[in-house]
Amino acid sequence: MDKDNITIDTSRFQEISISYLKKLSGDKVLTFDVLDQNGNTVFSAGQSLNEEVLKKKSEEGVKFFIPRVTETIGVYDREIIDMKKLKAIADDTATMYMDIRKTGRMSYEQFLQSNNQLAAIVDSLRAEDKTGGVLSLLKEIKEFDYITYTHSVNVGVLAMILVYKELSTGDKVKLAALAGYLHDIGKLRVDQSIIQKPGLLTYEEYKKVIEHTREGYRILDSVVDSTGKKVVPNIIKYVALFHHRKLQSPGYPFRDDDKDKTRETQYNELPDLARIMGICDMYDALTSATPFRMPMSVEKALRYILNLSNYLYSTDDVHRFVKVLGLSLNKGNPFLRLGDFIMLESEKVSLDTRKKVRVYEIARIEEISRINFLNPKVMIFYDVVRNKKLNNITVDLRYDTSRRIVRVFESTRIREMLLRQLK
Amino acid sequence: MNPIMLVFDNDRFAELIRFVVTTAGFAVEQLNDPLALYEKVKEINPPLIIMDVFLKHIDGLYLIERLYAVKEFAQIPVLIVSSRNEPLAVFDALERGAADYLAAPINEDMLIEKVKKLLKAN
Repeated sequence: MDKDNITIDTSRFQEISISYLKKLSGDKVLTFDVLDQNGNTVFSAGQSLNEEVLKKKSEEGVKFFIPRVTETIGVYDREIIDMKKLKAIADDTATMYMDIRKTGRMSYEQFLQSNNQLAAIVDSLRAEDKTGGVLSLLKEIKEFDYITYTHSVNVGVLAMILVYKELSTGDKVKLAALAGYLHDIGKLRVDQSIIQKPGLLTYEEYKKVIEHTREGYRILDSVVDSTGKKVVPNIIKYVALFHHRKLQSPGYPFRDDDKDKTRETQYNELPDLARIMGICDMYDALTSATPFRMPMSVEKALRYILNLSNYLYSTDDVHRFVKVLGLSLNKGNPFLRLGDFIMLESEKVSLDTRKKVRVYEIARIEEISRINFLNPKVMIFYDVVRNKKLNNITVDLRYDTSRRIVRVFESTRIREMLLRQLK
Repeated sequence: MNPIMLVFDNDRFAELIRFVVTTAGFAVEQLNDPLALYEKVKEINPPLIIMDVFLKHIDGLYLIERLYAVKEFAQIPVLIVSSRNEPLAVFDALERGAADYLAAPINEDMLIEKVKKLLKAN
C-alpha cells in the first residue's frame, strides 16, 4: 500500500485518529463505514470494531477515514448503539409475542414487561442522543426478521424519536414509544398465513386482516392488574384501534355513516398520536421488505409519504413527519431534488362565495438547501384549478409560508406532460 | 372480446355508466364489491377496468397499486370515473398508473370516446 498517497476525497471524508477509534471498540456496533486512505472499506457499518485488527492495520500504515459531517443541522446517523441491549429487547419481545399468539391474551405481567422494555429503549435514547444518533436504533433493528416483531419496535422507535425531537416531555415520549410498540398487537390474533401471504388477499382474508385493529383494542383493554383495574392508558388503545384510519380514503375500522361529519372531520377528531402513528406505520412498511414487494429506499419512501398529504393523511401531519425526521432518516440529505416538479397547495378566500378555497399550482424546484429543504425556491408555472398556464413566477417558499408542497411527481408520463407545458 | 369490468359501490353511478357503455355496444361485467376485484379480474380477464376511486370500504388508488404490482395484470388499463373531482385526485390516479381520469358530472360522449381509445390502444 502506498502510505503517503491519499486518494480518498477529503472533502467528503475526514481522517480520524486511532485513539478515537479505539474508544469505539468492544460490544458496540459501528453505524458508519471506516475507510482507508484509498477509499477501501476497512470496517463497515453494522460491524463491531476489533481492537487487534485496528492495531495491525495501523502498523501497516493504514490511515482511517470516516464520512465528514458537513453541517450540524438535524441528526446525522453516526452514533454507536449498544447492540447487546437491543438484541435482548428484540428476543424478549419475540418470546412474549409467541405467548400472546398462543393464548390470544396479554397478561398484566406482559404489559409491565413491555413497559420496561420501552423504558430501556427510551433510556438508551437519552444516553445516546448527546450528538443525536438515535436513528441508528432503527437501522440495527432492521437486521432482524421483519414480519414478527421488529415492525412493532421500529414504529415505536420512530414515534418516540418524532415526539422526542419535538421537545416533548418524558412521559409523552414514553407513551409514544409504547403506543407504537403495541399498535399492531391485534395481529397476533389474526391467522399468520394470511398476514404473510405473498399474493393478493381475497375478500374474506381482507376482512380478517382489518379486524386486527379491533382485536388490538380488545387485547389491551382486557389487561388488568391483580385488583381487576384496567392498566393500559386509553391513548394506547386508541392508537391500536385507529392507526389505519385515513383522511379521504376509507381506512378502517370502517366509519359509521354520519351525515353531520365528513370523513375528514372524523379523521381530524382522532387523537394526535393515532394520526401520526399511521404515518410511522406506513413509513416502516414502505422501507421494509414485505411478502409482496421489495423495500423502498428511504428517499423514495419519504417522497411517497409527502405524496399522501391531503389524501391519506393531513398535510399538517405529513409535513410534521418529514420536517422532523426527513433529514435524519435520509442521512442528512434532502429528499427533494433540484428540478423536481411539485404541486403547491394554498388557501384563499373566494371573492364570490366568501368561502375558503384551496388553490393548487405546479412548480419546479429552482434552488434547494439542506436547511430549508421543505421550503425551496420554486418557479410556479401552472394553475391547476383554473387549468391555466401562468407566466413563470419565482417564489422563495422560505418567505411564503402560505404555499406548501403536497406532491412531488415521480411518473415519467406526468413529468413529460409538465415539461411540454414549460416549453 | 371479454366484457369490460365496472367497479363501483355506488349503484346510481354504476347504473348510469353501465347504461352508457352497453348502449355503445360493449359487454360489461359489474362488480359491486370492490374487495373481490382480484379474484374477478383473474376469472374474466377484462380488456379494460372502469372504476371509481371514492369507494366506501377500500381505497380505489390502493386497489390500483396492488393490481399493478401483479405482473399478469399490469397490461390492463384502468379508467377512473369518479365523483371525486379535485386536482390532487387526478394526479394521484395517473401517478399510480391509471390510464385516464374522468370526473363527474359525466359527459357521455367523452366517456365512450375514452373507452374506445383505451380498448384500441390495448
